[in-house]
Amino acid sequence: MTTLLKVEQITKTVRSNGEDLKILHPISFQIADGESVAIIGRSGSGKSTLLSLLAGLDVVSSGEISLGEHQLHQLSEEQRAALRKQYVGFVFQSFMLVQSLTALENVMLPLELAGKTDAKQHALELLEKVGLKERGHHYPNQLSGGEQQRVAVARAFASQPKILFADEPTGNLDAENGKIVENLLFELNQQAGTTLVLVTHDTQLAKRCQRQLTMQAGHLTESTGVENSVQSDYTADEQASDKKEQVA
Amino acid sequence: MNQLAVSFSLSQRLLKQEFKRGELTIMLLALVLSVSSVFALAMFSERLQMALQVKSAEFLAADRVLESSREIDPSWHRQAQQLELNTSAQIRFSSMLFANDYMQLTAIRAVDQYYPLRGKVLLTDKAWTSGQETELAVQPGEVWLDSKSVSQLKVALGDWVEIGATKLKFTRIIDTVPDADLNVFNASTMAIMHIDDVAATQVIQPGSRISYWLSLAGDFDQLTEFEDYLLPLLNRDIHRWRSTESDESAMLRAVERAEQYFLLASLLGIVLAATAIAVAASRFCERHFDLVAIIKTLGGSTKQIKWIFNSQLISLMLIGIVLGLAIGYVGQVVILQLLAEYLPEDIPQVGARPWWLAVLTGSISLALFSVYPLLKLFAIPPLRVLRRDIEGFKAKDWLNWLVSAFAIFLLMWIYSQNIKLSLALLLSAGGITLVLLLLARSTIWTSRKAGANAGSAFKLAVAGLYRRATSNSVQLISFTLAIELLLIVLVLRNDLLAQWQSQLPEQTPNHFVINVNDFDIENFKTDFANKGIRVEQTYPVTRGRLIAINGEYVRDRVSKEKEKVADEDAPRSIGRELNLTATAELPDENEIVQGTWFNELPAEQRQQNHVSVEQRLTERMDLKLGDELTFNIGGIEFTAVVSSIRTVKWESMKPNFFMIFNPKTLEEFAATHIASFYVPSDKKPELSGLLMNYPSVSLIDVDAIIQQIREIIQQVSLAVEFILILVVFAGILVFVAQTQASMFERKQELVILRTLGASSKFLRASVLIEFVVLGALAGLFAALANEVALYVLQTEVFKMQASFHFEYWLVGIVTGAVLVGCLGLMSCWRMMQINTQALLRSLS
Repeated sequence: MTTLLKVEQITKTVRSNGEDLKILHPISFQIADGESVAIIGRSGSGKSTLLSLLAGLDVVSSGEISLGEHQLHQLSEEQRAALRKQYVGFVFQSFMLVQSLTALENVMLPLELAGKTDAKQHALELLEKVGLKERGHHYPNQLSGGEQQRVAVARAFASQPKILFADEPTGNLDAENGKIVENLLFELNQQAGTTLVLVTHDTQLAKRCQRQLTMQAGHLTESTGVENSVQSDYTADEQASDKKEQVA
Repeated sequence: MNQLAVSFSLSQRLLKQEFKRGELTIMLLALVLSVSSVFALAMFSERLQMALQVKSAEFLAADRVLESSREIDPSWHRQAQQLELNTSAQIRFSSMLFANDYMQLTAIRAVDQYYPLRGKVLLTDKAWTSGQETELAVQPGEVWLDSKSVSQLKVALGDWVEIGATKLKFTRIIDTVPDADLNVFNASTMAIMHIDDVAATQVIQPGSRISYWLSLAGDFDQLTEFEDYLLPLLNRDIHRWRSTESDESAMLRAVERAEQYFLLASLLGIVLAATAIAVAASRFCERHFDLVAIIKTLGGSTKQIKWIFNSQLISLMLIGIVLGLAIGYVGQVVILQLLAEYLPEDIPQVGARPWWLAVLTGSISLALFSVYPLLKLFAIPPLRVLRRDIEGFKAKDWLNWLVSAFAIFLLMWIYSQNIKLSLALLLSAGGITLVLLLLARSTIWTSRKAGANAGSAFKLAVAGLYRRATSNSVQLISFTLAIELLLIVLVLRNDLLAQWQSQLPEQTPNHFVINVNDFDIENFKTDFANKGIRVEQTYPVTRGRLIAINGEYVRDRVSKEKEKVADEDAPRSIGRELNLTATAELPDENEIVQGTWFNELPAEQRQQNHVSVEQRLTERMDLKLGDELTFNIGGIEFTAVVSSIRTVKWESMKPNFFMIFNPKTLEEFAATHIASFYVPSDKKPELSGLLMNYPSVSLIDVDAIIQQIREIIQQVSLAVEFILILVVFAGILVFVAQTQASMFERKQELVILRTLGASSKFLRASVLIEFVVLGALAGLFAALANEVALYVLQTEVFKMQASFHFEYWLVGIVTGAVLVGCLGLMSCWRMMQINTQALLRSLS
């Protein structure tokens, strides 16, 4: 399998109250084309920050990320946006639908931004796949949470992305709706052969992925599935110091 | 598909949705209001101004008049005709008329067929009755007489009247002429004849007192061009140039103040509407932070995003401008319809100014007030989809203030075309804002301490005020400014209207009599009283000349007076005979500005000769208190000391004097009397009978002029009301926009409290208290700022007497508390109708 996403020694540091705060310690790993990967960890462990860097929503403080042929860390904001348009789909915990557009228009949005001519037709097909063809003319506030997330899933697949990032996609949903969305996500992923990277607390959901990466206090500590794909500088000493901090 | 076309279509879809959801109502309303009010005001005031100019031109019977004591150079006449100005020539002189063995000294106007260029002559067939407008011109061989001449000469239509060496046929009775002589001392009976008959009268002899008039009417530009040509050629000793602007009538004073008021009130209205636009534009952008983050996440480029929002705002702008123009146009048509009976029939059409002014106002308001919020919007990073708190734009408040100040300045400048006024308003607004900011901050901080021990809803309200100190200060300032501007416009309107009404109260004397003999005056009063006409204060009048000041002969000083060209149109008094009077009482509407009135002089001084002099005359003649003025009355010279300096309301319809002496000074000199009184129209025909016993007396009827002034004041007052309504509406928009914006900030907190089980009643109480406190504070600050602003405006701009307005303090506080409180409560009420789950969802 070819490597789609390659992460090398990336870190993220932010300024907080006049001091540098390291949110991500050097992290390296690779994700293969078509693979599904879950990033798990506690709140504040750095999962979402890692996701934002992988998706090019934010920039690394150091290190390199390459998506396909593209060196994400070398691209400008505009270039990264263009890259997202071409390669990347998103599903968010809070759905992030445009409230002033109908369900159908929300699904059409990435297609229109990409200048596709058959946006409507394609969007209708996707809404049918997520079981919401009849609700296309409804606005997000007229839909339940589960329905909104299904629209978001349809929108994520609309641009036929190479890689799909999902941030806690079932986090705001009850078990039943969570399951529906989860199934949809994996089904569509399989059909389209998309690479899936999802951040979750839900161990059951994580297990459905081929690999799980665990974040802990800004470090990537475990990986299962593909061997040797994770190289972490998280030393035994650092693990010990983290534990001490947690106890304190 | 072209990506920009896609962005455009997307932007229009979003815009439609925004409209449907009512999100753009405030911004559109503010935009429509600013465009329509600027348009209607500019159009209306321009048309009103032109109409008023036409009306005031009627007072001159022309737009400009050249009056000359020598024959007017024919080349000037030709020059005026070359400039395509309408001209009319006139010769005025006094001559004795003879008819039926009666004779009467009469002021004669010999006119050509073009007289009057403006206004109409009113003719009648029966003396002392109201006349009808006429297009007729007096023909050679004819003479028209006024009612008084008809009574005095006992002539009937068709009789022959002798003027000098010729006989003219009496064909019409004059009721009024547009340029009736307002100088009560010059008035006598009047006759109009044709200018071609003047030679035949042979009354023009060397040394006769004749004045030659050249009247002009036409386009402003041509008139100005002619003025540029003519004025350098004039000799002040011979010529007098008169324009409508140089006239000092009550009406023009009223119109001038009204124009200043229009200008100021419209400027403040525009500032208010612009503030509403600014608040709404800022909210518009903030509401779209998430959308921009989503679009950027989905790969939309900044260019696409700019297209989407710029085209939305441009569409909004276009809709606002078109709607604004349509509403403004209809608005001014409606106002003109309402005022139709007070306005001349053909109201001049205005040029393009109102159109481009309105379009510019709309574009500048929206474009400049959106710049900063848009910059913030475009800078929203895609990461916001994961972290909702980030905005990606380092707040540059100074930039926002700078752009807003520039926008407001630009709007005011374009509208007023007066850079000084605009800068003054801007700087004072800036100063007030700064002081308010400090006041607001410190008050909110103090209230935090005061509220700490209060009941829970109150505590929550005060805590809310404190926590949002920055945004509350901004809200407080915009509420304050809105209330302040409303108060200014309201107070000025009330003061102006009150002043106008006091200027010409009901039963203002509408007739004057002059030349009442000293021995007749008591009988005269009694006769009139018997007919139910009360003759007001009478003044003895003696003609005399001022010949020396502190022993220096006036002839030598006249040249100094001439140098003061700027005061060209001030009443002229020197070098000619003056009407001197003596009275122990200071006449109404005269005010001592320096020195002491006679009855307050020390006893030992009262027996000396004293004179009270009109203020502007003292300035022109460099007179001061204590100067000794020497007068000559009928060959007898005497000296009086200037013991006081007075201001005189020349525009009041009452006898006014440059020089008033203490009674002792003039008691030796023979005098005639002048009196004014009010005659209701049904009693007018009785005047002729009453005056029969006093053949020397001249009657001057100023009723028509008073009516005209009243009508103009009435229409100007209506216009003032209209502007007040517009400004109030603009103010309310600011309130609604600001309350909406601040409610949004409170939403999250309210949702949390609601989720935690706080009752609607509790939340409403806390919101109500918070807003009422904000509104009351704003009202208090507004009242304070109002006093300062009004003092400056009244003394500097309107040249009115400054006054304090304590009654408006309560108005300010109550208006602020009630309006802001109610609006806050309404928004909160709406929010409480939505269930908590939906509210939570709308927040996420």
